[in-house]
Amino acid sequence: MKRMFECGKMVQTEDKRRLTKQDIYMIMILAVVAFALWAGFSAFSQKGSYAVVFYDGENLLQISLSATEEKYYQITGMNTESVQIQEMTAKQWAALANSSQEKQSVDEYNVLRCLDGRIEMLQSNCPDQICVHHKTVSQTGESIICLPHKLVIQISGTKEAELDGVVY
Amino acid sequence: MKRTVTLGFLLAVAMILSYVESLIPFSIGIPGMKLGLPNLVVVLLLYLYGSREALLVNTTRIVLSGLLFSNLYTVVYSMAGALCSFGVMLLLKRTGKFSIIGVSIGGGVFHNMGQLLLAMLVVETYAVSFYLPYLMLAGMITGFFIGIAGRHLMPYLKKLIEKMK
Repeated sequence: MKRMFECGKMVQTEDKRRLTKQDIYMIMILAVVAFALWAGFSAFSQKGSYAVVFYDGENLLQISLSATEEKYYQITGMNTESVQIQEMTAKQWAALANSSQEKQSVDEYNVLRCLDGRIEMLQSNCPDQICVHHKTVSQTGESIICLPHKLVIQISGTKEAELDGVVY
Repeated sequence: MKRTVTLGFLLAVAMILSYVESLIPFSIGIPGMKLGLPNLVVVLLLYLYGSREALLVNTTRIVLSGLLFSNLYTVVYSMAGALCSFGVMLLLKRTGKFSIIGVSIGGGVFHNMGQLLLAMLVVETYAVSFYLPYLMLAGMITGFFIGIAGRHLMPYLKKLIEKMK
Protein backbone atom coordinates (compact mmCIF):
# COMPACT_ATOMS: atom_id res chain seq x y z
CA MET A 1 0.00 0.00 0.00
CA LYS A 2 1.28 3.44 -0.89
CA ARG A 3 1.84 5.63 2.09
CA MET A 4 2.49 9.29 2.41
CA PHE A 5 4.12 11.15 5.26
CA GLU A 6 2.76 14.48 6.15
CA CYS A 7 4.03 16.55 9.09
CA GLY A 8 5.26 13.31 10.63
CA LYS A 9 1.78 11.92 10.60
CA MET A 10 1.16 8.85 8.53
CA VAL A 11 -1.56 9.22 5.98
CA GLN A 12 -2.78 6.37 3.84
CA THR A 13 -3.63 7.43 0.36
CA GLU A 14 -5.48 4.33 -0.76
CA ASP A 15 -8.81 2.95 0.45
CA LYS A 16 -9.08 5.05 3.55
CA ARG A 17 -9.39 8.39 1.91
CA ARG A 18 -12.47 10.40 2.52
CA LEU A 19 -14.44 12.19 -0.14
CA THR A 20 -12.15 13.20 -2.96
CA LYS A 21 -12.46 16.36 -4.99
CA GLN A 22 -14.06 14.39 -7.79
CA ASP A 23 -16.59 12.93 -5.36
CA ILE A 24 -17.68 16.40 -4.36
CA TYR A 25 -17.93 17.46 -8.00
CA MET A 26 -20.04 14.43 -8.82
CA ILE A 27 -22.35 15.02 -5.86
CA MET A 28 -22.72 18.63 -6.85
CA ILE A 29 -23.47 17.81 -10.47
CA LEU A 30 -26.02 15.16 -9.50
CA ALA A 31 -27.65 17.52 -7.03
CA VAL A 32 -27.84 20.29 -9.61
CA VAL A 33 -29.31 17.95 -12.23
CA ALA A 34 -31.86 16.60 -9.74
CA PHE A 35 -32.79 20.10 -8.66
CA ALA A 36 -33.08 21.32 -12.24
CA LEU A 37 -35.34 18.41 -13.13
CA TRP A 38 -37.44 18.97 -10.04
CA ALA A 39 -37.71 22.70 -10.71
CA GLY A 40 -38.56 22.03 -14.36
CA PHE A 41 -41.26 19.53 -13.51
CA SER A 42 -42.81 21.56 -10.74
CA ALA A 43 -42.74 24.81 -12.73
CA PHE A 44 -45.09 23.26 -15.25
CA SER A 45 -47.26 21.34 -12.81
CA GLN A 46 -50.55 22.69 -11.64
CA LYS A 47 -53.78 21.27 -10.38
CA GLY A 48 -54.76 18.77 -13.04
CA SER A 49 -58.22 18.74 -14.54
CA TYR A 50 -58.18 15.26 -16.05
CA ALA A 51 -56.79 11.91 -15.15
CA VAL A 52 -55.95 9.88 -18.21
CA VAL A 53 -55.68 6.13 -17.94
CA PHE A 54 -53.36 4.33 -20.33
CA TYR A 55 -53.17 0.62 -20.85
CA ASP A 56 -50.15 -0.67 -22.71
CA GLY A 57 -49.51 2.83 -24.04
CA GLU A 58 -53.05 3.25 -25.34
CA ASN A 59 -55.50 5.82 -24.09
CA LEU A 60 -58.18 3.93 -22.23
CA LEU A 61 -60.18 6.42 -20.24
CA GLN A 62 -60.39 10.06 -19.21
CA ILE A 63 -61.66 11.00 -15.80
CA SER A 64 -62.66 14.54 -15.07
CA LEU A 65 -61.23 15.68 -11.76
CA SER A 66 -63.68 18.55 -11.39
CA ALA A 67 -66.51 16.23 -10.31
CA THR A 68 -67.28 16.69 -6.67
CA GLU A 69 -68.84 13.34 -5.79
CA GLU A 70 -66.85 10.26 -5.05
CA LYS A 71 -66.36 8.01 -8.07
CA TYR A 72 -64.95 4.54 -8.45
CA TYR A 73 -63.59 3.00 -11.59
CA GLN A 74 -63.01 -0.68 -11.93
CA ILE A 75 -60.76 -1.74 -14.76
CA THR A 76 -60.71 -5.46 -15.47
CA GLY A 77 -59.35 -7.95 -17.93
CA MET A 78 -55.88 -6.57 -18.61
CA ASN A 79 -54.66 -10.11 -19.24
CA THR A 80 -57.55 -10.94 -21.58
CA GLU A 81 -58.47 -9.62 -25.00
CA SER A 82 -61.01 -7.06 -23.86
CA VAL A 83 -60.36 -4.52 -21.17
CA GLN A 84 -63.52 -3.41 -19.39
CA ILE A 85 -64.17 -0.26 -17.45
CA GLN A 86 -66.94 0.13 -14.96
CA GLU A 87 -67.80 3.51 -13.49
CA MET A 88 -69.48 3.46 -10.10
CA THR A 89 -70.70 5.77 -7.41
CA ALA A 90 -69.63 5.22 -3.83
CA LYS A 91 -72.83 3.31 -3.07
CA GLN A 92 -72.51 1.01 -6.05
CA TRP A 93 -68.92 0.30 -5.19
CA ALA A 94 -69.77 -0.52 -1.59
CA ALA A 95 -72.43 -2.92 -2.79
CA LEU A 96 -70.07 -4.55 -5.26
CA ALA A 97 -67.25 -4.79 -2.76
CA ASN A 98 -69.54 -6.57 -0.32
CA SER A 99 -71.02 -8.94 -2.85
CA SER A 100 -67.82 -9.96 -4.58
CA GLN A 101 -65.97 -10.76 -1.41
CA GLU A 102 -66.00 -14.50 -2.07
CA LYS A 103 -65.54 -14.19 -5.80
CA GLN A 104 -62.06 -15.33 -6.68
CA SER A 105 -61.18 -13.45 -9.81
CA VAL A 106 -58.42 -14.72 -12.04
CA ASP A 107 -58.66 -11.63 -14.21
CA GLU A 108 -56.31 -8.80 -13.53
CA TYR A 109 -58.14 -5.85 -12.07
CA ASN A 110 -57.51 -2.39 -10.69
CA VAL A 111 -59.86 -0.09 -8.83
CA LEU A 112 -59.41 3.67 -8.91
CA ARG A 113 -61.00 6.12 -6.55
CA CYS A 114 -61.55 9.72 -7.49
CA LEU A 115 -62.42 12.24 -4.81
CA ASP A 116 -61.97 16.01 -4.56
CA GLY A 117 -59.84 16.18 -7.67
CA ARG A 118 -57.49 13.51 -6.42
CA ILE A 119 -57.03 10.01 -7.74
CA GLU A 120 -55.78 6.97 -5.93
CA MET A 121 -55.38 3.31 -6.70
CA LEU A 122 -57.68 1.65 -4.23
CA GLN A 123 -57.20 -1.97 -5.13
CA SER A 124 -55.24 -4.14 -7.48
CA ASN A 125 -54.42 -7.80 -7.67
CA CYS A 126 -50.98 -7.15 -9.07
CA PRO A 127 -48.11 -8.98 -7.38
CA ASP A 128 -46.07 -6.01 -6.17
CA GLN A 129 -48.85 -3.67 -4.91
CA ILE A 130 -46.68 -0.64 -5.55
CA CYS A 131 -49.56 1.17 -7.23
CA VAL A 132 -51.81 0.60 -4.21
CA HIS A 133 -49.21 2.01 -1.84
CA HIS A 134 -48.69 4.99 -4.09
CA LYS A 135 -49.86 8.31 -2.70
CA THR A 136 -52.87 10.03 -4.24
CA VAL A 137 -52.13 12.19 -7.26
CA SER A 138 -53.63 15.50 -8.35
CA GLN A 139 -50.92 17.64 -9.96
CA THR A 140 -50.23 17.59 -13.69
CA GLY A 141 -47.37 15.30 -14.58
CA GLU A 142 -47.94 13.07 -11.58
CA SER A 143 -48.79 9.49 -12.28
CA ILE A 144 -49.57 6.16 -10.73
CA ILE A 145 -48.13 3.20 -12.50
CA CYS A 146 -49.05 -0.42 -12.16
CA LEU A 147 -46.17 -2.10 -13.91
CA PRO A 148 -47.40 -5.70 -13.80
CA HIS A 149 -50.72 -4.68 -15.37
CA LYS A 150 -49.13 -2.13 -17.73
CA LEU A 151 -51.51 0.51 -16.46
CA VAL A 152 -50.61 4.19 -16.20
CA ILE A 153 -52.78 6.86 -14.64
CA GLN A 154 -51.50 10.27 -15.53
CA ILE A 155 -52.79 13.65 -14.47
CA SER A 156 -53.23 16.03 -17.35
CA GLY A 157 -54.29 19.64 -17.71
CA THR A 158 -56.33 19.12 -20.86
CA LYS A 159 -58.88 16.60 -21.97
CA GLU A 160 -56.89 15.51 -24.97
CA ALA A 161 -54.42 13.14 -23.50
CA GLU A 162 -50.92 14.21 -24.12
CA LEU A 163 -47.95 12.15 -23.39
CA ASP A 164 -44.46 13.50 -23.72
CA GLY A 165 -43.87 10.62 -26.03
CA VAL A 166 -44.82 7.07 -26.67
CA VAL A 167 -42.30 4.31 -27.23
CA TYR A 168 -43.37 1.49 -29.49
CA MET B 1 -11.20 -22.72 -2.88
CA LYS B 2 -11.02 -20.22 -0.07
CA ARG B 3 -12.14 -17.57 -2.51
CA THR B 4 -15.23 -19.61 -3.30
CA VAL B 5 -16.01 -19.89 0.41
CA THR B 6 -15.63 -16.15 0.94
CA LEU B 7 -17.77 -15.35 -2.09
CA GLY B 8 -20.45 -17.76 -0.88
CA PHE B 9 -20.33 -16.15 2.52
CA LEU B 10 -20.70 -12.68 1.05
CA LEU B 11 -23.53 -13.91 -1.17
CA ALA B 12 -25.34 -15.09 1.94
CA VAL B 13 -24.79 -11.69 3.55
CA ALA B 14 -26.14 -9.96 0.45
CA MET B 15 -29.22 -12.16 0.47
CA ILE B 16 -29.87 -11.44 4.12
CA LEU B 17 -29.57 -7.73 3.37
CA SER B 18 -32.10 -8.12 0.51
CA TYR B 19 -34.43 -9.86 2.92
CA VAL B 20 -34.02 -7.18 5.57
CA GLU B 21 -34.68 -4.57 2.91
CA SER B 22 -37.87 -6.31 1.83
CA LEU B 23 -39.06 -6.19 5.46
CA ILE B 24 -38.54 -2.45 5.86
CA PRO B 25 -41.51 -0.52 4.49
CA PHE B 26 -39.49 2.23 2.90
CA SER B 27 -42.15 2.96 0.32
CA ILE B 28 -43.19 6.57 0.83
CA GLY B 29 -45.43 6.82 -2.18
CA ILE B 30 -42.73 6.92 -4.80
CA PRO B 31 -42.15 3.74 -6.73
CA GLY B 32 -38.70 2.30 -7.01
CA MET B 33 -37.30 3.89 -3.87
CA LYS B 34 -35.13 1.48 -1.98
CA LEU B 35 -32.45 1.49 0.66
CA GLY B 36 -30.05 -0.47 -1.48
CA LEU B 37 -28.51 -2.38 1.42
CA PRO B 38 -27.27 -5.27 -0.76
CA ASN B 39 -25.25 -2.74 -2.70
CA LEU B 40 -22.92 -2.66 0.31
CA VAL B 41 -21.77 -6.16 -0.51
CA VAL B 42 -21.35 -5.32 -4.18
CA VAL B 43 -19.21 -2.30 -3.37
CA LEU B 44 -17.09 -4.31 -0.94
CA LEU B 45 -16.60 -7.08 -3.49
CA LEU B 46 -15.61 -4.58 -6.11
CA TYR B 47 -12.84 -3.35 -3.85
CA LEU B 48 -11.82 -6.62 -2.20
CA TYR B 49 -11.84 -8.87 -5.26
CA GLY B 50 -12.77 -7.38 -8.59
CA SER B 51 -15.44 -6.74 -11.14
CA ARG B 52 -16.03 -10.35 -12.14
CA GLU B 53 -16.64 -11.57 -8.61
CA ALA B 54 -18.84 -8.60 -7.80
CA LEU B 55 -20.98 -9.13 -10.87
CA LEU B 56 -21.26 -12.86 -10.25
CA VAL B 57 -22.36 -12.47 -6.64
CA ASN B 58 -24.75 -9.65 -7.48
CA THR B 59 -26.60 -11.43 -10.29
CA THR B 60 -26.82 -14.62 -8.25
CA ARG B 61 -28.11 -12.62 -5.31
CA ILE B 62 -30.84 -10.97 -7.39
CA VAL B 63 -32.08 -14.20 -8.93
CA LEU B 64 -32.03 -16.12 -5.65
CA SER B 65 -33.53 -13.48 -3.41
CA GLY B 66 -36.03 -12.57 -6.12
CA LEU B 67 -37.28 -16.12 -6.30
CA LEU B 68 -37.27 -16.51 -2.52
CA PHE B 69 -38.75 -13.23 -1.30
CA SER B 70 -40.64 -11.72 -4.20
CA ASN B 71 -41.50 -12.46 -7.81
CA LEU B 72 -40.20 -12.45 -11.35
CA TYR B 73 -41.12 -8.83 -11.96
CA THR B 74 -38.84 -7.72 -9.20
CA VAL B 75 -36.02 -9.86 -10.56
CA VAL B 76 -36.21 -8.18 -13.96
CA TYR B 77 -36.32 -4.68 -12.52
CA SER B 78 -33.63 -5.33 -9.95
CA MET B 79 -31.45 -6.79 -12.66
CA ALA B 80 -31.84 -3.72 -14.87
CA GLY B 81 -31.00 -1.47 -11.95
CA ALA B 82 -28.14 -3.65 -10.79
CA LEU B 83 -26.44 -3.88 -14.18
CA CYS B 84 -26.80 -0.15 -14.74
CA SER B 85 -25.42 0.66 -11.31
CA PHE B 86 -22.66 -1.92 -11.64
CA GLY B 87 -21.46 -0.45 -14.92
CA VAL B 88 -21.31 3.03 -13.43
CA MET B 89 -19.54 1.88 -10.28
CA LEU B 90 -16.95 -0.02 -12.30
CA LEU B 91 -16.35 3.01 -14.47
CA LEU B 92 -16.01 5.35 -11.50
CA LYS B 93 -13.65 2.99 -9.74
CA ARG B 94 -11.50 2.46 -12.84
CA THR B 95 -10.84 6.19 -13.10
CA GLY B 96 -9.23 5.96 -9.68
CA LYS B 97 -10.35 9.43 -8.82
CA PHE B 98 -13.35 8.60 -6.71
CA SER B 99 -13.43 7.30 -3.15
CA ILE B 100 -15.54 4.32 -2.16
CA ILE B 101 -18.22 6.79 -1.09
CA GLY B 102 -18.30 8.42 -4.51
CA VAL B 103 -18.46 5.04 -6.22
CA SER B 104 -21.32 3.99 -3.98
CA ILE B 105 -23.25 7.22 -4.64
CA GLY B 106 -22.89 6.71 -8.39
CA GLY B 107 -24.12 3.16 -7.99
CA GLY B 108 -27.10 4.21 -5.90
CA VAL B 109 -28.24 6.90 -8.33
CA PHE B 110 -27.83 4.75 -11.42
CA HIS B 111 -29.56 1.77 -9.84
CA ASN B 112 -32.70 3.88 -9.69
CA MET B 113 -32.11 5.26 -13.18
CA GLY B 114 -31.79 1.78 -14.68
CA GLN B 115 -35.04 0.68 -13.08
CA LEU B 116 -36.80 3.81 -14.24
CA LEU B 117 -35.54 3.36 -17.77
CA LEU B 118 -36.88 -0.18 -17.91
CA ALA B 119 -40.18 0.96 -16.44
CA MET B 120 -40.45 3.59 -19.16
CA LEU B 121 -39.96 0.95 -21.82
CA VAL B 122 -42.46 -1.45 -20.25
CA VAL B 123 -45.36 0.95 -19.71
CA GLU B 124 -44.39 2.88 -22.84
CA THR B 125 -44.58 6.36 -21.36
CA TYR B 126 -42.23 8.98 -20.11
CA ALA B 127 -44.61 9.72 -17.28
CA VAL B 128 -42.30 7.94 -14.88
CA SER B 129 -39.60 10.55 -15.35
CA PHE B 130 -41.56 12.82 -13.01
CA TYR B 131 -40.03 10.86 -10.15
CA LEU B 132 -36.49 11.01 -11.48
CA PRO B 133 -35.31 13.90 -9.26
CA TYR B 134 -36.68 12.23 -6.13
CA LEU B 135 -35.08 8.94 -7.06
CA MET B 136 -31.76 10.63 -7.78
CA LEU B 137 -31.79 12.34 -4.42
CA ALA B 138 -32.73 9.10 -2.66
CA GLY B 139 -29.96 7.25 -4.50
CA MET B 140 -27.44 9.87 -3.46
CA ILE B 141 -28.41 9.73 0.19
CA THR B 142 -28.53 5.95 0.47
CA GLY B 143 -25.37 5.62 -1.64
CA PHE B 144 -23.56 8.02 0.66
CA PHE B 145 -24.35 6.02 3.77
CA ILE B 146 -23.64 2.70 2.08
CA GLY B 147 -20.30 4.15 1.03
CA ILE B 148 -19.46 5.20 4.58
CA ALA B 149 -20.39 1.76 5.88
CA GLY B 150 -18.24 0.18 3.19
CA ARG B 151 -15.29 2.39 4.00
CA HIS B 152 -15.38 1.40 7.63
CA LEU B 153 -15.93 -2.29 6.97
CA MET B 154 -13.21 -2.68 4.38
CA PRO B 155 -10.11 -2.81 6.57
CA TYR B 156 -11.63 -5.57 8.72
CA LEU B 157 -12.69 -7.68 5.78
CA LYS B 158 -9.34 -7.18 4.10
CA LYS B 159 -7.55 -8.40 7.19
CA LEU B 160 -9.89 -11.37 7.42
CA ILE B 161 -9.36 -12.38 3.82
CA GLU B 162 -5.59 -12.01 4.11
CA LYS B 163 -5.61 -14.18 7.21
CA MET B 164 -7.48 -16.89 5.37
CA LYS B 165 -4.91 -17.07 2.60
